Amino acid sequence: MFGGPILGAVTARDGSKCWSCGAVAPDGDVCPECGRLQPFPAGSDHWAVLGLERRLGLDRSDLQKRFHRLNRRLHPDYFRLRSSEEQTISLEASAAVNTAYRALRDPVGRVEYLLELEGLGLGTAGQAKPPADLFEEILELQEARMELQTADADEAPALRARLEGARTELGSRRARAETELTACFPEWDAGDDATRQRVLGRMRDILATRAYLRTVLRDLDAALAVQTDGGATDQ
Amino acid sequence: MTDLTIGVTPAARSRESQPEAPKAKELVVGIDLGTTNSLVAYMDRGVPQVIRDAEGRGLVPSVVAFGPTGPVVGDAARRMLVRHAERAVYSVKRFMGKGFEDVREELRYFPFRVTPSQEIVRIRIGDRELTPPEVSALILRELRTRAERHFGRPVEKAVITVPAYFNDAQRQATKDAGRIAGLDVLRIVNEPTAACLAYGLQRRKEGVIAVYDLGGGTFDISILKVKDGVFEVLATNGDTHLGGDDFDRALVDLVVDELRARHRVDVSGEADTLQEIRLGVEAARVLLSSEERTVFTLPLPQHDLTYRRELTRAELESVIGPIVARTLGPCRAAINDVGLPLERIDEVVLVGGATRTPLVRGRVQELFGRVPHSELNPDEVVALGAAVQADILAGGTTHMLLLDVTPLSLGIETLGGAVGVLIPRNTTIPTSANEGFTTSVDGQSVVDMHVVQGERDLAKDNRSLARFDLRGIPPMPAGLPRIEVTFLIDANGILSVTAKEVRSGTQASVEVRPTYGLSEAEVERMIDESLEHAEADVRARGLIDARNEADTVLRATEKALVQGADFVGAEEAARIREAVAALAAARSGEDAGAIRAATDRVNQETQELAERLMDSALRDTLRQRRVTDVPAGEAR
Repeated sequence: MFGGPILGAVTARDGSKCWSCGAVAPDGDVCPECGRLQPFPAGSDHWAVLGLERRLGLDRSDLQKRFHRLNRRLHPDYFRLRSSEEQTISLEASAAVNTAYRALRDPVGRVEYLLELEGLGLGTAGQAKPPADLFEEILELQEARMELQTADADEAPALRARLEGARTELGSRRARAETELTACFPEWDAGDDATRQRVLGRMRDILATRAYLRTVLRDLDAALAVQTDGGATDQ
Repeated sequence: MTDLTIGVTPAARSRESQPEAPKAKELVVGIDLGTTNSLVAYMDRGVPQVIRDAEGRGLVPSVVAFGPTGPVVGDAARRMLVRHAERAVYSVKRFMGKGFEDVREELRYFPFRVTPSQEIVRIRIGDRELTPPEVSALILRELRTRAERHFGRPVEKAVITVPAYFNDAQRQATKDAGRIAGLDVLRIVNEPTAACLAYGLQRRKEGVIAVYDLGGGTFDISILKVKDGVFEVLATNGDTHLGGDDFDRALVDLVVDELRARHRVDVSGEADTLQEIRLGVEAARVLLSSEERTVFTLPLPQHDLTYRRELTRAELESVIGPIVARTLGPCRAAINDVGLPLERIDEVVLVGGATRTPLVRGRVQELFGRVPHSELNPDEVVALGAAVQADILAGGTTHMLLLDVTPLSLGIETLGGAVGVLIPRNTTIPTSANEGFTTSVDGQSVVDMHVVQGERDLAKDNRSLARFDLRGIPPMPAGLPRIEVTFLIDANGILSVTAKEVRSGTQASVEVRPTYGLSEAEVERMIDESLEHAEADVRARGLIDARNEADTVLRATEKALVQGADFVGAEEAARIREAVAALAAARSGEDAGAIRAATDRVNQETQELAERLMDSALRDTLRQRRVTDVPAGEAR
């Protein structure tokens, strides 16, 4: 917690030339001439770090293979006896690989990251949008949730049943939103600029809906958990 | 863009990243610094081995007692618990990286005193005050000495394990303890992950593995995926205040309550008795892992009473059942975070002494739906894994790689006291995140940020790690400066913070105020003090040894003068008496060297007498064919 290695200290290298001996050396790999570890270029996106083109359709097991292979090459464990420059490069590069893998392995995270790169990010939590057709029902649900808190033994079961039904319904809506999202991937991957812009807008709306559903579901979970209590002693 | 990351990095903290030429494989040991027991292991030609003492014992009880001759560690310290409870410290791991308020509730279970304060825990022993890292350092020093005796050369580098669910402050405290003990801590490794490495090395199987680790004071659950030699932690969860200690506390409470209810005897204020009860119920609990019933006996002469009680396994299980149940929530949370169905977990491994309890095994088996593994000694497997990681770092083992995660989400306090998460829990480490900061008032030169760890929405409900001040921001209108702050969690799970001012070329700096940690200056001072203490300890021990030796020689000389009265001339006797008087005088002083010199002189003066006595004794033996007491042997 007390400061640390100065990141980026040696990341600036001249094109694809080794920072140490000047030979041509690939990013995030060891120099074929002198064996020194090379950094990823500053500002590399997550796809570039994992050696991929910017696409949404990705194979999860291929991603994991890359994640493992890269860490096998540049993890700090293997550079402890090397120079401090290389240790810093290794730390930085390994962190970049780990962050990239985490962001890309999950389809939702992948789209969120892409939207951010395109300047269309949803921001933290904000911008969640209720699905138009469910807006009224969700308002009523909020009321039912409030009522459950003060409900007596007679009213509670009916309210609970209602909320549980809603939870199932909204849960499947969220799953549907995720299916719709991944259905957009081939179109974005194959599309021209105009198509991509259009698909991005659609994905952004789907994510906004999903974010909203997630918040409502979390509230429902909390409301139902307080009453059920089965697992409360576990926490 | 100007790089303005500024050195709050004290030289000592970055020492391990100094350039170092590759050389022959170094000596790096693996240490399991446990709540109840600690041990040290190393990799011997590809096989991890625990380093044992002459009696074959690998475990060193994590107990430190402060006797008149300085601190003692391990079995000797554990024996002091029942007679000098107030001078002994145990389970100090529960206090690592904690504040007084965090531990206030459980202090009644401990015989030692803790100074009330707003800051980190300080333990009072006599007129000394020690922080938990200093006490842990004494245990580490003992392990280090054991390793040095084994190898016959200095041991300066180590990998130390911690519970996976330890937060940043607890990890930092462990690293500080290592430094105070004179060790360069190359890596902090999570205990369940280390255990998995040891199992992986042995069995070379692939798949998804859940490690259930219930130790003396902490509980962890980690779920790993093992593939192609990569041990990737998928999720971890736990409770750093839950373990076998809690079983014993529940049993101690049971005994104390019964004594009060049935015998009208209140022992709650008797520190030594409470320790005797604690050690007694611990032994009974361990026995009940293999037996169905046992009898617990406690003599209480001060109350004219001997408390005897039969304890059955069923009764034990009813007492500890609620505590065991507390481990299941974190298990479910970790399974949930992994997002795999239970059937996809191929194996469950048990680690930690408390998993020998049949009830624990039963509950784990129920939860995961499969029989858990425990082929490797659950007390030793963590240290063995630490030795494997030590060997990886020493450049020995290259076919394995550990990718661990950060157990708790890292965030900063935002306006209104909420938390903005920067690095979510279960993110593979090392990892980093950037966050932009700016000013809110014209000409503001300092920006303050509060870093917390935890899963709650409000900063105040999470663990406060530190407050950071970004200083030296040039005067600009509010909102104009752009300070980019990088939060990096290294492979130890420890956070560092650096900053760059993007817009101007003026330097800013990061100032750290750890909430529950030692400052760099404090650690440096403790290293110095521990060296001084070490010297003082050596001096004290030297004095004791010299006095003991003197006593032996004095006793033997007195005896020889009586037995050899017939062989001693008056002048010789006078010389001997003079030397004896000089030794007696020296012995009452503090100078070990003077005592040794006076001892040598007595030995010299009595040498001839000793020889004559020896001859005479031999003649007697030959003549009378009987064994004679030979004092000359004692007098050398």
